[in-house]
Amino acid sequence: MDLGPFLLLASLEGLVQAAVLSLSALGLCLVFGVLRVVNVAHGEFYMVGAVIAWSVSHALSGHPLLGFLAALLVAPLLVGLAAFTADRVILRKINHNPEATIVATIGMLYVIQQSVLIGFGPDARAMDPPFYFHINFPWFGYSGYKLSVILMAAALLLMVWYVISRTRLGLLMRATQIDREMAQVFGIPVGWVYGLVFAAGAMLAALGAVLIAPIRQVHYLMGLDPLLMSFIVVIVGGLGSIRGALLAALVIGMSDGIISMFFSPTLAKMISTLLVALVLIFKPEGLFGQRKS
Amino acid sequence: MDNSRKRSLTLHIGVLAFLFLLPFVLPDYHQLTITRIMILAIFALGYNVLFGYAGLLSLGHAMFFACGLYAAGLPIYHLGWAVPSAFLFAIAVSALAAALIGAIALRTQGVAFMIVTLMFSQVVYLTTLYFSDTTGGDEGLVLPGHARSFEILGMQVDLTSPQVRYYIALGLLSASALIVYRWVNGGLGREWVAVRENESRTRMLGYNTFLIKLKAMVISGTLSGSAGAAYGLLFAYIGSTFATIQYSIDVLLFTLLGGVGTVLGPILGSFIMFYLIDFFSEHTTAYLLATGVALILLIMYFPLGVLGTLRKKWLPWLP
Amino acid sequence: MVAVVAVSLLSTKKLNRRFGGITAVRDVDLSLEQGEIRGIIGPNGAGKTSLVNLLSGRLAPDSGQIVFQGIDITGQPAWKRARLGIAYAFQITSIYPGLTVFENVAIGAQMRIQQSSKSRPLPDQKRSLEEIVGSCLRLTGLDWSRTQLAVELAYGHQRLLEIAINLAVDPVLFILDEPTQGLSVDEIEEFTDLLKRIRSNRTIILIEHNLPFVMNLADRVTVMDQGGILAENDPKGIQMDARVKTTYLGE
Repeated sequence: MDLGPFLLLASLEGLVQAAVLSLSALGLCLVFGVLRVVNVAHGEFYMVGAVIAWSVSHALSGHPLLGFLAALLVAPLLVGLAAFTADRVILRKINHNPEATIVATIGMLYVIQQSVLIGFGPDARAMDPPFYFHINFPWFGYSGYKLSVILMAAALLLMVWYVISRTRLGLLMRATQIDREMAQVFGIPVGWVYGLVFAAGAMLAALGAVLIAPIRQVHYLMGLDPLLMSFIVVIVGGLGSIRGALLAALVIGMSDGIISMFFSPTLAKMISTLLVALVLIFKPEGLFGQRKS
Repeated sequence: MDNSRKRSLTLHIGVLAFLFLLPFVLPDYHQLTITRIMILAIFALGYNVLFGYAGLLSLGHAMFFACGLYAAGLPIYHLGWAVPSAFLFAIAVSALAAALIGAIALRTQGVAFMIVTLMFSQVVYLTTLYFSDTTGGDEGLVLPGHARSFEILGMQVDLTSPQVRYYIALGLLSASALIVYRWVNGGLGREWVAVRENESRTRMLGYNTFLIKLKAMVISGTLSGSAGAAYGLLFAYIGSTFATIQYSIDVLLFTLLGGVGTVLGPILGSFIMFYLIDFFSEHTTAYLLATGVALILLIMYFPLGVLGTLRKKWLPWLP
Repeated sequence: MVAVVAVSLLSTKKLNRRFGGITAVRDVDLSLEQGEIRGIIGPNGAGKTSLVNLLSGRLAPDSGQIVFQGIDITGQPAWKRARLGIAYAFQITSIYPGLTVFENVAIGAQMRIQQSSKSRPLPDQKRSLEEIVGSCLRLTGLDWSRTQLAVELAYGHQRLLEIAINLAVDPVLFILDEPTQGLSVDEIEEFTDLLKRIRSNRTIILIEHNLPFVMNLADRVTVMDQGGILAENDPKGIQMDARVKTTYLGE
């Protein structure tokens, strides 16, 4: 293949990755923005979303599209419920102390991951895409499902934007984010907002996973990569800045897709991890975030 | 004041004496296990200097452990160095690495510090994978025969003997524990605790808090590195597994369990957790479940750990 | 005996600091004499706290110069200034809540002992940590509470503890940011006595809203308004000053 078409293919792959990444990174970003905590178990909510998607589509025998649509509904609901419970039972008990929360969510990471290992087994399993449809470019054919992932992710992001900026829930969220104590004084049930936002973050990860499940294989260790990538996106985007995170997800998802076609993936990861750590140290407001005065 | 200091010193020496007598009654399997645990306890002891005393929570201490491991093992494997010089070299390299990484990472605080140390550690791990021609990568390297014994002060030391390994590990653990004990009960310990409890107040009293934290980082990293070096040399194996996040989390768990900010806590925590994991891995492949449950329960109900809780309730003299 | 000549302990020249569009400290020339108690008063937002933050090194000035005991300290970090003898008691009490009262003060004493070998020898070379802590606790009347955790002390006692911690480093210049805030009338009276007892040869800066307290203690009073110095005089002079009356005392 010539370089031109090759780059086009790489960009399309990058775009699919960016689409899913932006969903899961947005989830991590929301939680950090409102609760001021880092959820290390974020990748496991993603993984569980994919596992539920596989199970649902496996259980429903009809057309794969039916299973997929059911999964799109069931997976985020269950994951959201689990996350909400975890927040109310565990994180509330430690007062969402940032450091203790990291330790607790590391614990949650192990519990979720190992429970899935027991229940689901160590094998990677494939899930049928909801529809087979190929778009033929002059140089290569491309999966129509992958393109639809990009569109679905965009639609979901629009929905999130609508909820945050146009609804009462979004208003409560933003109020809590700006000043927790003031919000409490004004009678906002901060504890509930925290629980809901934590759940919403996990649901976004699960949604991203449902979209990706038909493309990648479902496996109990699949949560680690999106966790690290989401971390990177949130840091580069400026901790807690939604606009920064989305921009960073686009840039990083795209460039990761392209770079890993040219370099050794280990070297690429090594360098990008180091660079991101340095961003956090020397430019903590992120590359795309705004400096707060 | 003096009385309590005497009591606590007696307790510490008593624990070490107990460990000294243990091999006479223990079967071989446990002797080997305890040798491992004692090395990991040095790691935890070092970790606790940073976390328990200076109040800095690192999520990447495996990088120092791995640093010592490779700095000791690689010269032996590739250059044919002798064991003692490799060990000393590893200590020096760990100290240097800790100073360098500390100087950069300590520009951040709290959550950012946790993430930065995690990421640096991940870089070290990926580096060991990337240069797998030299490091052996995931599969690791088994150290050659000449590294199984060495001569020191005219004595021939045989590293294949379980008993010799046990007492070397105990010797290193005792030395580390006594050094840490002295430091945390002296002026340096007071400075660390001051920084942990209120950094800006401490700075306004004239303390160079950055330097105080850097000292904690270097001491902590050096102890962790010497634990790594000892591990590699005693068991004649070095590999990337020791650089994984898993090891950074384990050492945090040992410390949390035993008691943050106590000298004996990390040692106790290493013992309990190691046997707990050992027990679970006999029954299930998902033994990490125990790690997860332990982390959650500890942080929720016993954030001070076993000895921390004891100290708060009944034994205020415990250092 | 040589007659004591009034020497300038600390002086600033055209000190400026802006936050965004607001000038918090504007062209401040301040001069303190050895051993004086200086009150700094002014309405909220006049720049008092910003000014002492510039002196103690918690903030860096945009321009200007600070000279302490003949040394230009403008570019020095806070901890170095503290070692020269500038101590600072925060507006919001800053102690070590999780440690005992003894340990709280010991942290200050340890710094004093570390420093004693250099430019500022201890008056008595043999003074141990325990003795320094003991004398500071007796001076502030906290001796009874040695083994208590600082967090368990009443608010007024916590404020005293912060004074004790700072006394342990034996400061040359002691800056107190609103020390009487939140104290009862009785406590303020005791506090006034305490300051009289500890002043000996120390220079003290008092930032205060409590005017009777300042006027009672201070040798000179500086009035700030909108970042600049409005007036400077002895307490009597300040109370007569027409400009001060109109802009600040509100008459």
